[in-house]
Amino acid sequence: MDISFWILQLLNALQLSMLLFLLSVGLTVIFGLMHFVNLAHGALYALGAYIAASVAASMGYWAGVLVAPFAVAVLGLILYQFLIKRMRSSGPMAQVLVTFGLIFALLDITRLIWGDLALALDVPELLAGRVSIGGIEYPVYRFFVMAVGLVALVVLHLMLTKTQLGAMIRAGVDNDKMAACLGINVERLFFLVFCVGCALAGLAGAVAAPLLSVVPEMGVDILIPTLIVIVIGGLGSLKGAIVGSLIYGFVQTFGAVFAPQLASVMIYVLLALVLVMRPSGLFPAKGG
Amino acid sequence: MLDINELQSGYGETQVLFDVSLQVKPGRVHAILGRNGAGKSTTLKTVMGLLKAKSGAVEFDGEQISGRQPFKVADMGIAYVPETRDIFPSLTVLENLELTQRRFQHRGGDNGWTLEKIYEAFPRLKERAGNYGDELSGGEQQMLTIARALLMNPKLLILDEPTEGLAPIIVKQIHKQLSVLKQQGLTILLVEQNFGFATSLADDVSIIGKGQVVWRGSANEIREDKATQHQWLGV
Repeated sequence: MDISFWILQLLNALQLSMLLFLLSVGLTVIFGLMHFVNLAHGALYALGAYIAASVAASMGYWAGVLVAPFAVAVLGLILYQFLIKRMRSSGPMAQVLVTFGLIFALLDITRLIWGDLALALDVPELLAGRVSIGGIEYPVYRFFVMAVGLVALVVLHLMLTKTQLGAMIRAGVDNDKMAACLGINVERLFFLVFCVGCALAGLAGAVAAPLLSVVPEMGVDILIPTLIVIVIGGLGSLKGAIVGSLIYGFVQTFGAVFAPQLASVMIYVLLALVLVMRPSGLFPAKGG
Repeated sequence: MLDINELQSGYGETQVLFDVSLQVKPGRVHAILGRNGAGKSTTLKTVMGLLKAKSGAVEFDGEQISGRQPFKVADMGIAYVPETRDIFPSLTVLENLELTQRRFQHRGGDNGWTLEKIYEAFPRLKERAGNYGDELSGGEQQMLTIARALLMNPKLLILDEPTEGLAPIIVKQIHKQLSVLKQQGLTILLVEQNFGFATSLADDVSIIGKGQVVWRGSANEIREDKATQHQWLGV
């Protein structure tokens, strides 16, 4: 195994990490802000992929990748107004059950609209081809996925740390009751964060679509890794989401290289270790 | 300014307040005294909308506010300094202050609170501006919650046990600061266990016992009334 092999694995790990980051960041901030568990987050990712593939079929890739986040955000808005808002005061068990049910509802809606066959989304011409790096040829599109994740990370980081809106969100995550006593409409803040989180899930689905075949189950398949990322990283923090994503991406990718027989359990062992040593994850939000 | 009428409230099924009525008059400092568990903090939380009143009414500036959400109550001009201080640990001291300063500065007019005035009144906060909320001492946290509340340029300042757990020297500083606010004419509603602290600041006093107002009068009267002190405060 020479150096180029390791570079290849490194890039694969980074690419998987960035995709998971796009998904987990929305979910973790939604949870941190309102202690709301949205298990249907993965289903929104699948819908993003389907919408991107459908739009792209007639209007091209870029239209698809732009429309998908907006369409999923609008769906999130509808879900919020008609379902999630009503669930806010019910306990976590009821929320988990309802959003778990939502997974199946959305799965069947996807099947009704698009059928059971896999859709494909072609890589746009601009991002087709490969670049050679360290003796290997790596698809340009995978670099693009990493770049999207990185841009999202930087934009969200700046938004959260440098703006008044970001300070309000952090205050709400730390202590929503006190934030409300200072005149902050935490409910509206949550609504905004929820829609942005949904848009990010849609974006993740759209950029992931060309890498894999678009099937109804893709949302369920990605849900467990996303939840593992959040539990390892710690709830409610951007830092937790990125660190958790990197750990998952690297353990999964390099685990398969070093110990293929153990690859599938390795991440769960790590998860268990983190839960024993740091029950609230590596970088949880500070408030409680 | 604040009229609480026959308020009943509590936590879930547990009723804590059975009949609380009191009036906070404009420009005055009103202290609520009473033993632990009498319902003092519960009264404040119900006023803020953090707890839902079972019955009774809360009026502020002539408007009915019971049943309103906390952010709307705050928006009407009531600033709340909770017992637990509730500084946001993920925000720096400056960010904690800006949270209210940026949204409420315009309410103060020319004589309102600004960051500069806050730093003048609490120089320690200027030194600690870049520190995060969880890096502060108890006294610094208490100054920050009061400063954060003042930057809302409120009509009414509500304080829940501002001296609890603080060193005597800090208690003195806070006393001085609140006296200045009183002189400036700010209306204050204060819950306090520290009898001397409360009665030296307050004009009016209500004593809550077992969820009801059992005594009302002036701070001077209660200082003289040893029997009431003994019965309801255990001083």
